[in-house]
Amino acid sequence: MLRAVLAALLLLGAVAQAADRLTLGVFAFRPKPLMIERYQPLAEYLSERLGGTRVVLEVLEQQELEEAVAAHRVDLVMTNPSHYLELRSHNSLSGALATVVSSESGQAVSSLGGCIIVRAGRGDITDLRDLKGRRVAIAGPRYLGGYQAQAFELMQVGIRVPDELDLLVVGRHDAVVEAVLDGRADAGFIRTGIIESLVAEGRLDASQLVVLNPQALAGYPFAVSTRLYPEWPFVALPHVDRSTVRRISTALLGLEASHPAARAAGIAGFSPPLDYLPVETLARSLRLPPFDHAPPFSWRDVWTRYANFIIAFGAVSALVFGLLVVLSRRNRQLAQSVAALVEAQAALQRIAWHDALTGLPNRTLLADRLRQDMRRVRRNQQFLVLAYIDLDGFKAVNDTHGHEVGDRVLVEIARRMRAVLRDVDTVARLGGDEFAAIFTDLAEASLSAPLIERLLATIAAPVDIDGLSLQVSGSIGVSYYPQHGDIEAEQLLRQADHAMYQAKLSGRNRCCVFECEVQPEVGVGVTAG
Amino acid sequence: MLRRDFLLRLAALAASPAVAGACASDKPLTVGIHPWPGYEPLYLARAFGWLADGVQLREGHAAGASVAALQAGEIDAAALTLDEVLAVRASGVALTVVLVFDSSVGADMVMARPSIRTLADIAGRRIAVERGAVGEVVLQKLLEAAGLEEADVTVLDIAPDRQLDAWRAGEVDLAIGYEPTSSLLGREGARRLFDSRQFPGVIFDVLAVRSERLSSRRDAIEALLVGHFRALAHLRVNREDALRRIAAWRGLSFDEMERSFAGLNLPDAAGNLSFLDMTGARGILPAARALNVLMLRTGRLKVADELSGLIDPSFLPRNGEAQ
Repeated sequence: MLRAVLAALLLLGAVAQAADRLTLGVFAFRPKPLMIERYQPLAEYLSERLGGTRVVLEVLEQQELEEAVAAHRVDLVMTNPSHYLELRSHNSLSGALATVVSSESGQAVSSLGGCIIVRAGRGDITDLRDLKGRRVAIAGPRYLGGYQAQAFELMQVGIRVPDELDLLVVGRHDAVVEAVLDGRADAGFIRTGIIESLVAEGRLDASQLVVLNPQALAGYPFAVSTRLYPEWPFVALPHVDRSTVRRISTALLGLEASHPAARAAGIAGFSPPLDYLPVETLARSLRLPPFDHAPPFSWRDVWTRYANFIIAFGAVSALVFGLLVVLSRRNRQLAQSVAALVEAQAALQRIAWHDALTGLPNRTLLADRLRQDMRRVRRNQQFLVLAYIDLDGFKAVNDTHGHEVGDRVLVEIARRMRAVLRDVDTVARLGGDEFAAIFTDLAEASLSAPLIERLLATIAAPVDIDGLSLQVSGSIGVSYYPQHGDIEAEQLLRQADHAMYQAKLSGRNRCCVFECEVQPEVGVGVTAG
Repeated sequence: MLRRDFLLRLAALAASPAVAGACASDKPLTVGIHPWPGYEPLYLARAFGWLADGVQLREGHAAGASVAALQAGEIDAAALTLDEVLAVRASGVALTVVLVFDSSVGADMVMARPSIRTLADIAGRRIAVERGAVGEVVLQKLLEAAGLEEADVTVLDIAPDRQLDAWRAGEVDLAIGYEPTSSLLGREGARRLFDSRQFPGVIFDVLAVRSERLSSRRDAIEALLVGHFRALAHLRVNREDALRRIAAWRGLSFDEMERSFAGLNLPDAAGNLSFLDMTGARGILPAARALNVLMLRTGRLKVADELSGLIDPSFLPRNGEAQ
């Protein structure tokens, strides 16, 4: 029986102890003894208002506080807003029960900000931009009013923090002020209210410091260099039961500014919780905890985010590819067209430079070749002979047998003439029954004599057309090149033409050389045939 | 002459942040603006650098300056009350409302001598109101609610900035105005008899743009609205920071600033969409129809505004862009 009673008492005691004692963890943003002095009355006030439950104060450094929250060794927490966000993301803390209202010279404020201080008289640092590359003392990178708020403002003017600052981490706000005063740092970041507290404690002469980038904020009792953020939240961990949470909230909101607990803590009480979204936005834009890790990356995210871009890019790529295909096809067609054109041009040239009936070069091509040959033989100190050929008796063939038969005679004679000439020679049809031949690259002019003889013979040979044996002959006039003095191709041709008339007058089927009397032996030899 | 110029006159007019010289290079969108709590998000946006480069605020002391500049073709847009927009349209300048800054839900009020306990008591009394301004709308609504005609009372043309003197001199029994005059009258013993909460959805402050410049200035107008909503979000979630800044540049205290905002609804982008409802079932269009009737009665309008092209919600940011 006694044992049963004792066991029941023990059990009751254990439960009672859990419910009777709540630990309030407060982040030590100032030296621990000072913090205990300030917040012990608040813990006592809460104990008093909660009846049987005792609230025990624990002032903890940031790391200690995190471990205590993770292990549920604390039940209630007061810390700075950005630390609260970080704790919340790791420990599923509830929303804030209340927000601290701080007080200074009769002004109640629920917002804090950051202060940027330099030693008075430093003319080289007057603007936020002057801080680039400077040595800046901070309490620690996880202080909202002591680092993050300032970092955000510096980012707005284009200074990357922490990369473009030389940070000196000194642990606490008081130490930051000391570092700035003794010259170990060019500037310092502290939260709002620190300067005013130190002055009130008689530990600082305000004229020793200058606050950079002062903000014009009506009625705000502290010097401030940044925009404002909600003050510290008062948070209950999720394991604290709801009725206790309700009683704590009531006690906090009911704390008058004049109450000794409020006065000791240097606050004006608590207000209903403010929106901590500005702090979250700040932490996100600075990539501070808990937003310091990029979310895992997947193709699905890429698609979700850039679907429009990807679709547009794909469409443009497809369009470009399609256009390239069209372009290459057009290019091929163009190449074919060019080949056809070249061919057509060659055909046109052939037509332009050749006689349509016999296929021999025409007068134009003859003149061109004559000029080329003249240049060459002159250069090579050789000779060329130009023969002007007129058929004898061709008109009679035409009149007797018709133009068609006449044409076939011309074609056959043209073929024969080409056959007896050397490769270097040219024979052309000048029109009607007139032809011309160039014998070129001759070492002696006289070497042309056998060629002309063969020409006369082949012209005079009978031509068979559909059983008819037809016969014509040729009268040939010859001129030589080079001669004494300069002479043009046209002139040379005229000379040969003239000689041809001499041959006609002399009895046809013969050759006559221009200025026959000078070189009679050629004419005599040929005349014999 | 017109409303909403009062806070600045009262405030110790700090060296005015100079009406910035023309940024000649690429012709910014110029917006006429004057001090009024509902317009403060635009000032906030400018202070935080959230206004696009292509937007330039042209500050005046009162709506009258904006109205004159609109009529002279010097500015592209202006922040005005809806009744002022109708009056400018009647003068031949086509305006289109692209944004609602605020709707008055108590900001416009009637302060009365303590002896006046009910609306029925106002018959035969002397009422101070600014003629040709938004106060006339309140007066008409007051008379309507009391079941009286204008002939049943004595209407005195006294703008809010002169009402305190008239009150002290015993020249008036009622005064139609807004903060901070109303609080000052309250200190003299006046009590609030009637305010715009009794006729919500009539008094609006809006951004009106010259209709013919809507399409050519679309990008700048959209950028202006994005800046406005960003500042409005700051005012909403970081109220203390925003109000202390605004109070500082108006030379008012934080508490006075809070009171100035108390009677205003400041709609976000979604709220704006419902105010700029093209069907005319709610928002600006019904308010404009009611103003047509009131303004015809008082002679501010000679003919009713047909309300065509009065609103255009297409410049509002789509969902999620406001932040």
